Amino acid sequence: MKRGFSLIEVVISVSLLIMVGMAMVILNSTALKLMTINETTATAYGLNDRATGFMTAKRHQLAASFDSYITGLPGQNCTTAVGCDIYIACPTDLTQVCALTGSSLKPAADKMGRDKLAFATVIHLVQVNGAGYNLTATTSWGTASNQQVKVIKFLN
Amino acid sequence: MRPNNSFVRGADNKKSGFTLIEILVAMAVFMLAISIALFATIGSNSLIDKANTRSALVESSRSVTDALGRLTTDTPYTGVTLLKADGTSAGSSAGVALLVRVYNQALGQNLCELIGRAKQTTDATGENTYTLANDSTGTFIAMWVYSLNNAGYCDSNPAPYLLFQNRLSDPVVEVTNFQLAMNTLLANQVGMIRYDLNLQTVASSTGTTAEGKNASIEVASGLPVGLN
Repeated sequence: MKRGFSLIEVVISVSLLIMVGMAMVILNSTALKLMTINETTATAYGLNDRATGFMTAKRHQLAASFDSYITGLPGQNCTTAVGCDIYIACPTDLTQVCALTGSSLKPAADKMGRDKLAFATVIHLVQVNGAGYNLTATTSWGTASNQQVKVIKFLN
Repeated sequence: MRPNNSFVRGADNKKSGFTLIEILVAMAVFMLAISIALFATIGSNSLIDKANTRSALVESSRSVTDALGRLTTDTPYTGVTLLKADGTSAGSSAGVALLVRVYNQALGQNLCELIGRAKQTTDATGENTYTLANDSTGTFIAMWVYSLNNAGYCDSNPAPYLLFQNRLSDPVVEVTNFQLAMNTLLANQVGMIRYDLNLQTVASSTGTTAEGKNASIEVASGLPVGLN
């Protein structure tokens, strides 16, 4: 009488063991990716705050001439009544003031973090009833919809 | 009379039990299964630790950015001073601490609030104390709340007037860089404080990538001042 396992039994057992191991590895890497996204998002929110902070300060500095400053930016071709896209470039040296450019002069992306991910911030500005501006700052580190964060603020 | 079969080894008796090879294979498969189960358990525990540490990293950065934002909101341009690690004013260059004079509604008086990179020491009573430091010993971001000095100003040394001090960053996180600088847009009226904050986890974890081994975060942000 023959005894022992058949080939199919051995193959199924080994496959199950390998699948359990692979599931653990996949779970581990997925969890790591999820955790890294939190850190990347925090960095992007920081850049968004920098953009909205600079625009807020600029609005207070320029007051009535703010609108002509925005439409007169280098590389700009828009009116704030329709909506303007503006890029912000901040030098690595913190003592240097950030600069704004129009939509046709996209500056180099900020490379940040250990992985040196490229972050780009774009500001969309629309004048509301001639009294203030709706500001939307979007920082992205990729092209996918889950690779960007957005902040909306009203500038008086 | 025939002897009892159970005591006779006859040629027709079948052998019972496992062969050596069968036992070895069974043991190997069993060990493999146990190893995988062990790996899964240890891996899950390690993953939980890693998640907690990285959560502390993000929370620490948020805690610092929130505190800086709260301090600078409605603060006049002239009410903000940036300090170097030795407590002197950083002027137009980069500093490691932000000193703001704020009005405390509850106490009905002005108070000084200082946020900066600091080192932690433990005094004789076992209480943690913090002092400004911009080298490798400055592993925390701390904040001090203290009263005005006798001349009515915020002294750069909070110790004599200290009301409260605490750390803003978690102990499992260390600060590797914290710098602030004032960008003036309208002299003595409007400006933006730019800051860079780099944090990394103290405890190394067993990830497969460089990011997983020792997580870090970099925040480069800015806050407007002089909007009141």
